[in-house]
Amino acid sequence: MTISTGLIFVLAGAALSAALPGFGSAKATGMVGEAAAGVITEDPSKFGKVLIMQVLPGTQGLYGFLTAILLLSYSGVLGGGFSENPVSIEKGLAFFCACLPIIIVGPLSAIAQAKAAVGGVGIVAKNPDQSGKGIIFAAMVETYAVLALLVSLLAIIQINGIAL
Amino acid sequence: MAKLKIKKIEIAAAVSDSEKIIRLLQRRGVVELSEPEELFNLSTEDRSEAISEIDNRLKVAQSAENILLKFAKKSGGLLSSLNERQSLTESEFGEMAAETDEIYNAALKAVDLDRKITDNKVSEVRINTMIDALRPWQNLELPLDFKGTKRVAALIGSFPHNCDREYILTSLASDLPEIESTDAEIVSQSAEQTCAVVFCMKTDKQDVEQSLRNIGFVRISDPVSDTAQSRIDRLNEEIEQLHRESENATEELKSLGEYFEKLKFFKDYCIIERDKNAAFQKLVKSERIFVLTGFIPEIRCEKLKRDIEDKYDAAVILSDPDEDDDVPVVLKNNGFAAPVETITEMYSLPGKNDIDPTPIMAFFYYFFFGMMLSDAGYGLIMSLALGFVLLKFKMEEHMRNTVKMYFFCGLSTLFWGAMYGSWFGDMPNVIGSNFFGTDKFANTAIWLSPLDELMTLLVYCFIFGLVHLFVGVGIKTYMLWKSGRKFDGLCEFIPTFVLILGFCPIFFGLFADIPQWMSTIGTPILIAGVVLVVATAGRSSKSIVGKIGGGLYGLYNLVSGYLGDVLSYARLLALGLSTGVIAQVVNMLCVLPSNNVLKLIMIIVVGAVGHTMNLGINLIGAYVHTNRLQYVEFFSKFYDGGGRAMHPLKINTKYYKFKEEN
Repeated sequence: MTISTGLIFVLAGAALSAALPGFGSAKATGMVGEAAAGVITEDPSKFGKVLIMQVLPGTQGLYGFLTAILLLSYSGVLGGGFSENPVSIEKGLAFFCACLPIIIVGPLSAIAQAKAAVGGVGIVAKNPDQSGKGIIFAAMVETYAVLALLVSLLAIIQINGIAL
Repeated sequence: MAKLKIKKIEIAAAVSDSEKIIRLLQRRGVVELSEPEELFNLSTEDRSEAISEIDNRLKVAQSAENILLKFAKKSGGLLSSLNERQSLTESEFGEMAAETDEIYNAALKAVDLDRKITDNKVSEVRINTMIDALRPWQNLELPLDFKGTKRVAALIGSFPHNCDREYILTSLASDLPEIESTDAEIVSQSAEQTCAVVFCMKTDKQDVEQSLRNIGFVRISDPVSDTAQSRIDRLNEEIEQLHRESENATEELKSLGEYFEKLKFFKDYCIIERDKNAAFQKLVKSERIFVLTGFIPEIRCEKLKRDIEDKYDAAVILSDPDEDDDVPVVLKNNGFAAPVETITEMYSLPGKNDIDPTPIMAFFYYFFFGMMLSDAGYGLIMSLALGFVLLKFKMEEHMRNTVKMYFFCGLSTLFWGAMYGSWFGDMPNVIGSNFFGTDKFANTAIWLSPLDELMTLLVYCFIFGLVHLFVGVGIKTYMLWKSGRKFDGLCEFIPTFVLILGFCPIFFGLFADIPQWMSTIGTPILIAGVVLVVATAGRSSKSIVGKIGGGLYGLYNLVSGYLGDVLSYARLLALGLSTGVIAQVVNMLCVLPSNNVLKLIMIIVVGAVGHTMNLGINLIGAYVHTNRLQYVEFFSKFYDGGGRAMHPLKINTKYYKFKEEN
């Protein structure tokens, strides 16, 4: 059983992918949850609507998790193939770079999206019929998280196909 | 299938029939009444007093309902709330309406009884405080206002600390050595308070009291002419009395519990009456006749006109609305498209010049939703569960449409899941390889497996996106063509189409291998497209320079705009992947143990929880992002919105609905 230097880069990438977007989403859902709780004290029947608002900025954490799992699976940490096929330094670094988009954009977009979602909670409170529009405002922000995820995923999947 | 054609309706009839005609309109629920216009010297009627009276009754009914909620029998579970409202025929309605006074009185009574119970609780607290204040005096057998006998004075009061008889007498003796005959009796002692009676000669009373005050003595306040004990007993009796009263009130409330259901009817009844009164405010009338105007969908005109003119002395005039009338919008679609009407409504109803985008959007909506959720297992569960609900429950129209929308989305998800070979992620393969040692199910994809052919799928996502966008531009062209601006319509469509088509080979070549012939014909098409766009995009400008400048600017806008729009469809891939990969992770966790029995237990427990969460999160994601693709990418190509929903005079009830007889 040996751990190659490349594998350490992979683990760093996977760890940060799971940690930072997860942290961002946790903070973001917390922010929206606070605002949502305020609405519920006034009108408990709006629970369903504000819950959706709260869940919206939670997806970045999921994207980070997805990236991390894919990386762990490809590098053999999950499934235990890493000692037979050690990851080279170059490949490990390449994997690490591939994670950067979701590591950086994930947490920042989650918090930005939370601000839009808090506004959306305000819409639910004052004009519940228009709450769909609040969802769309928050979803606009998420586009960039989706794009970052896409770049990270594409890069990871392509790098995995290259023999380094 | 689209926007219904709306007619303007004017009804003129005898005032004596106004009540009946308004009732008829309300039951039909098809006419939206307009605000009254100045007409000759006809006047309108002010019914705001009646309306606020009804609002008051509604409030009473609401509080009575909250009170009686505790005492009413609960019925049904979560699923029964899916069922539609109870139906009433008109005669049943009449019977129940006769009871409204009784129901209202019951509601008032319930509110009164509840107030009584609350008041009693407050009184009880007050009495208990009084009892607590008397308790230290409980052992004193003298009345509390006892002043003394003929010669002896009694000072009843308390010291704000713990002291005993010796302390009181010694302090008196040292302060007033000349007074000999004093005595004291301690009634009760505690750390904060000592209650005592001090006796002295009447002549010494002033001096003794002054001296006692110096060590903190305070006379008892508000003394009663009775011993503390008997006073406490009496107060306790009062509490008993209050309890009995509250119990009786509660019993009475319980007996009012049967009104809980009736209150719902009462609330509905009030709302009907209020709407009716509000409608009356929109009539203009003289002594004999009244006139009302409004809007009505054309398909409803004939029957209503016939019904009103047959039954009453009335004239119904139907006409096309004027250009500047604020005409409301009513959408009407078939069973496939109607469920996504709410999605259109959420954005904005079609404006005057828009067509209803719902029928075309419906197809793309289900298509993209399925691509994003893209797991056959999840789709199967969704469509089976919702299909069951659709068959089993008789739901309200609105609810039914929502369920139907997700049912169709579920079918589409099932389809795409099968195309991608994702059944609860890679569950078939996991079960096959772990329990039966076969890898036959490693690739169950009918079309392609996203993880293996990522780039190909990405290109397909872009192609689906382009089709979606072009349909949007096509609708714009169709609308321009229909309104007579045929040349503009063609300029909108053909150059864009040619340009983007020419771009495709270069663009897709970035992501995947494309056949040689495509790149060969791509370049000339691209050049033709550029020329066409530059030539047409600046056509509205007058000068040559303006035309060329506008053309180049149009070219830039078109290319950058479409690049952004098309890239946006990458979310079809990203969200699809995210469902599949997370489902695989769940499966991976399930088969971590090496023991087959444990694996099976894990699949059942962890699998159920994990897949439910994954389905939940990705459902929201798919919903939100499908909406976005429609609103931002699709609608921006042709749709303005800004229409106003029709709010007809109707029976706007919450708990009961009314069957139309005849």
